Amino acid sequence: MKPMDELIIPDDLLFGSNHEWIRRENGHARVGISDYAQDQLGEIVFAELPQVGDTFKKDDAFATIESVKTVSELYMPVSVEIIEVNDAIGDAPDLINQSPYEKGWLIVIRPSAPEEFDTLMTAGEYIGKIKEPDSQ
Amino acid sequence: MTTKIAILGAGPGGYTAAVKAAQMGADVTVIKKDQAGGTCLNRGCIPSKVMISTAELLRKMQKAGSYGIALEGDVRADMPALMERKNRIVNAQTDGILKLLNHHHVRYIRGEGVIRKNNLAAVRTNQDETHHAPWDKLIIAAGTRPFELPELPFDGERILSSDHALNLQTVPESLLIVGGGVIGCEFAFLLSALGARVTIVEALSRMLPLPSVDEACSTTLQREMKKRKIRFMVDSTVAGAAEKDGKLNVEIRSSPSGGNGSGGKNDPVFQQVDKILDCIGRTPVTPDIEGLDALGVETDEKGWIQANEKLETGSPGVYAVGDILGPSKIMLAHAAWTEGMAAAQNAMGGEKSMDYDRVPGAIFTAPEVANVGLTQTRAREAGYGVRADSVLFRALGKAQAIGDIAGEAKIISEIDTGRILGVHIIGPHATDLIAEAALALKMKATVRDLAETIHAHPTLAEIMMEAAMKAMDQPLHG
Repeated sequence: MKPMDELIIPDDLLFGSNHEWIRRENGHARVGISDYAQDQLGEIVFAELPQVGDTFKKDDAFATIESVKTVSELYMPVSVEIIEVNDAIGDAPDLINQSPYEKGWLIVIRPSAPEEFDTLMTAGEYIGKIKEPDSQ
Repeated sequence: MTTKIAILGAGPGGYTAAVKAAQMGADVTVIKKDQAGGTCLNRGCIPSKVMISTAELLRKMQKAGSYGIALEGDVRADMPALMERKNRIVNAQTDGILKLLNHHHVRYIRGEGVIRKNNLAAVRTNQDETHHAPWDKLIIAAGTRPFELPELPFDGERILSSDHALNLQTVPESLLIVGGGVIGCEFAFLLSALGARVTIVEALSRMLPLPSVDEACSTTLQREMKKRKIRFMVDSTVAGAAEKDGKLNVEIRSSPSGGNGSGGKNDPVFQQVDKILDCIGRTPVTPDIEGLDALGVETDEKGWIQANEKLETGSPGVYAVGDILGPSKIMLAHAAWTEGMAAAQNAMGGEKSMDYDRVPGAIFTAPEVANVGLTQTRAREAGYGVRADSVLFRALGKAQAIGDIAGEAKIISEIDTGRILGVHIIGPHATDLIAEAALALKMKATVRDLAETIHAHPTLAEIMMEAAMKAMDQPLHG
């Protein structure tokens, strides 16, 4: 497990309460899991992702990530419609470990309630949260 | 005076009833239309497990590199050799049953059984001989056959029943399985591992939509299907199939009974496949038993025979056991042989009742699914204050060592007493692990009993101990 100072938490991203990151891109947004999350999960062996066209409300479970250690559900940080899914993950789930913010992105979404973005954390707030002793 | 007992059928229900009755001193005649062993031995349990063994071995061999084995060239299924192996094993088992019956001095007549009148059966053999079998008591253990959809009649070429699927000489390139129950799901994994591209269609909202199967087991199994690129469709039914360009063009629609599929897709979907395998259920052979209706044996509108917990039918001296009792009971070989033994005892003056609450289920998908006792939902409906505690197999060293880490074991226990009410396992060797749970239920064990039983390390069986510790709020590795 990486020590805190080696974790990569990019400044330009927003973060959900379950270690998801969101990057806004031209009216859409790209979503993945943070470096902290992939490090905690360990070697990822399978990602069960939704399909294009699926819709989710904020806090709905939208994906399941299986690592050698655990099986974790991912929760939607904002309400969305899925417009793209990362097909590369199917054959190479470890992309999420190796490149959580670039090649290991999970989905591209169209937000259905943009005001929900106000509930997300900045990078600084997210770092503060994961430093808390009881954070998971 | 020796009691004469005639038994129609020599599957798990029939032959065990015969042995039990003979052991109790009866004069037993078994009448069997085809090969001894019934559906289980010839067209069910045994042949499918032989094929599944090969399929899983093939899958492991395709991942040989990750286990540190250098394999040169391709590995693939050799179906004629597999069928030969299957037939050899089945025939050896059949011989075993015949020897067992012979050993117990059971008269075995191969032919079509006919009920002439009360207390008299006759058997028409293939050689057109007629033998008579007078009886004081009759046990009907004649079983079932695959249910055929009228719009998709079996032809053994394009439209297959489970009987055909267990005799394949080649692996179909693509296959659509109708029905996501136990048989459909087992075939989905089996045939996909042997090299077929599989789609499986289920009318209800999950794979393995049985009330006895925990929802989490269905969810995990569906994820495993995705890993193996088995396409599954829930809330869907097959509306029809037509020949097109040498394949079958199958129309799949949203089912009326299910909820909405994801995204509200209600338009029909079309899939091109080489074959369809129909696994939507079984139908009783009751209409084939000539003379049965004259006895006053009660059946429902589908032909399932009605029997009480002592296996007695509406007709005095006539018992029924096994699959022919239908889905209101439990259509499993081990339920049949328990019923068979109970019916034999009752035919000889006993008062045995069947207890259906602790019959384990065993499903040979990959990973395997097994269960015994109540689900959380059923336990709550029965008025228990329950908790559910699960441990993942990947928490165990043995699971990591063998490279089979998918799945979990869940214990449903009563909050106040810790009494184990149900166990649900999906994972490697689940069908073997469930035996400990079945014993726990029979002994009315608590989670403390299980947690304080030393389980050898490293084994998969430890998962029961870990789940029990979690249920006591003292988790160790889980």
